[in-house]
Amino acid sequence: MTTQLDDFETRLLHTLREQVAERESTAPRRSHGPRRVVLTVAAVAAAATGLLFIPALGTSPAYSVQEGNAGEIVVEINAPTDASGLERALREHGIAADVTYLPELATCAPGRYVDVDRPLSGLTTMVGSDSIGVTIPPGAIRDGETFVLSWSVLPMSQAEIDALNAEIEQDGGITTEGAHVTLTAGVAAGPVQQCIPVPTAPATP
Amino acid sequence: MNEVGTDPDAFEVFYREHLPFVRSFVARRVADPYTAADLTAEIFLAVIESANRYRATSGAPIAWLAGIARNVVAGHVRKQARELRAVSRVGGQALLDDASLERITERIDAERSTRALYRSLDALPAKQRAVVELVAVDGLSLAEAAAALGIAPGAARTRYHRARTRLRTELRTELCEVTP
Repeated sequence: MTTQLDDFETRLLHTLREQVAERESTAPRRSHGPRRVVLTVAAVAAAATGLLFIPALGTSPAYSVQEGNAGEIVVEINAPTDASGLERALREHGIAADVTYLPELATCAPGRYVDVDRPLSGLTTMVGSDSIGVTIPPGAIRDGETFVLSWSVLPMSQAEIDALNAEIEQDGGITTEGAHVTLTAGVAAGPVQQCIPVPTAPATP
Repeated sequence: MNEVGTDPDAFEVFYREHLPFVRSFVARRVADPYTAADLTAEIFLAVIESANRYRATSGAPIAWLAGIARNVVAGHVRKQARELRAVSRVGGQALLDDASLERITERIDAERSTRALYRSLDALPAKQRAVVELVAVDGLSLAEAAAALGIAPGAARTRYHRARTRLRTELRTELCEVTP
């Protein structure tokens, strides 16, 4: 369709084209060789249905928070940095959040908060090879409640990756990266105490 | 569709095809031409940022765009309510000139009666309002409205007809009969 543009719409188009080109140039490049990524999840709690994560090496923002078509909040996390920025972004969307990124492989000591007394249906996660997504349906986090997320990532050692390649039938590909992940996600009914990190053991792939 | 966020040429095709819808969508909701310019920019920015999540199975591009546009306008209203300054990387106002401003104002004037209908929908429960807004104000089909809102077509039909009854009895406003 050839819509006739006025000067404003033409300038806007050029500005937006630049935005798109900028995104194109900063999008992470992915290799296409035989490559396999293995992740193990050491702890997945409460609402999460299984989150896997490898820290991004690209230049994309650490996170994005957007409202979806049906009012759901879609969170994409690309790197474990700027937890307070993500909390602020969620607050902008009316969601109180407590986000903790832990060094090494750890979880927060139990008893930080009291879970809400209802099923958390609709809270879903999306798994990508270099990011994770969390979708929070409208109304999932009510007034006075807090969305609580903690996670940590420990890249696998070369020895672990070598062992995987030796053990697992590879059907043409090889494992080149791997990570152990701990993650907890839930909804606190009331106050959330400070996270006391507790080391966790890596799960077996 | 997914390349709209990463390929400038693909974006331009989408922009030219859907600009008429966005022009009308905005003019039916806000009376201030400067705000209309900002919202137009913000809606297309949201398109760029969300394009990688578009799935053909979740509806036609127009339904997807309507969902995004609703959220942008709703977000704008919320920001106003909180007295926060809208922060946008592309300020539409900054790109305006007198002639373009005049054309936006003409569009806003032409949509005066539709804006009155839009405001009258405040009386409806939020879920019914969302369906009626897209069908009666923006001219989407019930199926497209359902896709835009992420609900089943049957649910959209039920909500529309409940809203129609309520508006007729309580507000003496008549919505047209629609079929999916």
